[in-house]
Amino acid sequence: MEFKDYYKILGVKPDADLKAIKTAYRKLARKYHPDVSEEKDAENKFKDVAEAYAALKDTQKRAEYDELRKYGQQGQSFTPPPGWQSASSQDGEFSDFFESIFGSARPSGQQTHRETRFSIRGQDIETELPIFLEETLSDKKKTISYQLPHYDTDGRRLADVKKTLNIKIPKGVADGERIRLKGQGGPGMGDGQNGDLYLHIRLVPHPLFDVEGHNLIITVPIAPWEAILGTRAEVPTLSGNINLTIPPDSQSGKRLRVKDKGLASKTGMGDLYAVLKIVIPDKTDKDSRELWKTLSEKTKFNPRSEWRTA
Amino acid sequence: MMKTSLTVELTLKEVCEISDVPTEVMITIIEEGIIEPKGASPDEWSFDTYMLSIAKRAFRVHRDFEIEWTGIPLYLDMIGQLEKLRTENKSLKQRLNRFLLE
Repeated sequence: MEFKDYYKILGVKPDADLKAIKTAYRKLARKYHPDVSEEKDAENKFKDVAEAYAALKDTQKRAEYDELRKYGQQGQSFTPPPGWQSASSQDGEFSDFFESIFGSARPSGQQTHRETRFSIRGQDIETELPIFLEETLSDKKKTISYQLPHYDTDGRRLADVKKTLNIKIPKGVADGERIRLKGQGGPGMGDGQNGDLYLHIRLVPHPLFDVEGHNLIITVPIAPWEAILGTRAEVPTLSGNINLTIPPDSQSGKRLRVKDKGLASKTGMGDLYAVLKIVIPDKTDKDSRELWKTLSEKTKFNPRSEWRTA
Repeated sequence: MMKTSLTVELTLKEVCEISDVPTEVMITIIEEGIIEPKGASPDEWSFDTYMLSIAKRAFRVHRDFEIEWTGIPLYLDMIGQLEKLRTENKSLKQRLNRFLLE
């Protein structure tokens, strides 16, 4: 296990007073807390910072840590001296390094039950579940696998166990939604119940469709003459192509509603909106250019009429 | 067989166990009005999973940022708004990009 220099992590001197440690922690918490941070790897950085603070804000823990710090350096491998035992108790889940010094929070620290029988509820597991838009409409089951922590009867952590489940994606599931699967988390100990599994739904961005609530949006490129004359265009949906009627004189950015071709919602189906985008050819040949010229001379149209000041 | 339980009712004991929030802290969270379980007395209190996640978050924020309980509802509101805006911004950017050229 690697030695952690808690002073370095908080960016304070080893003789810093409690006030300086608090200030340093609060600054770093605002920077790395996963709630507010947009930094890469914020969660792990915050864990280190919180762990360092937990060790240094407590006078007794700090004294113990200072004692051990004489034997270790940041990045070096570290084993506590034989017979080392901490007098402090602690909460929260920290690194093996922290637990080797101050003891493990689990199982002794977390006994919420007052019964004589030893029982601890298993850990809740949270995992991201990326799903494709197509999958939200399908009845097929999705296979997910995740790592479950395991502990022996003395509370020592063993290697994680991989667990695989087949789940049906509930209809109408939305981006960011959390699905709770009761009892599918970490195993309970003694009489304790299993923890739960929380699936954090992430809709994978689609190359064609954007999501707006339960509606979908597709951008439909059309030629300028199609916008003027109107046309029928074949447009993809999540459930096959449809023929979309584009009325004459359609502006760029116009939204056309295709009923019930969106995502499933709890109350029915969302709609698909086709947003028109006028595109022009990359190159225009001489003949076409002449025709456009004639057109421009014959058409009375000022696209910037709204700019005219009164 | 898998079952998803989207609406579950939990007791005070269950909600504390699942959230890892100590009972006395949970009671403070309720007294401060951060969550409002149904039922008149602690024995009758019933919680849903939304309250569970709010309580968990309130506890974390109180610990991690050392914010007083009275400031927590404001924090939760702001962070909720921030998250909503971030999601909205992301999706609007994605849509905008379909109209812009490189």
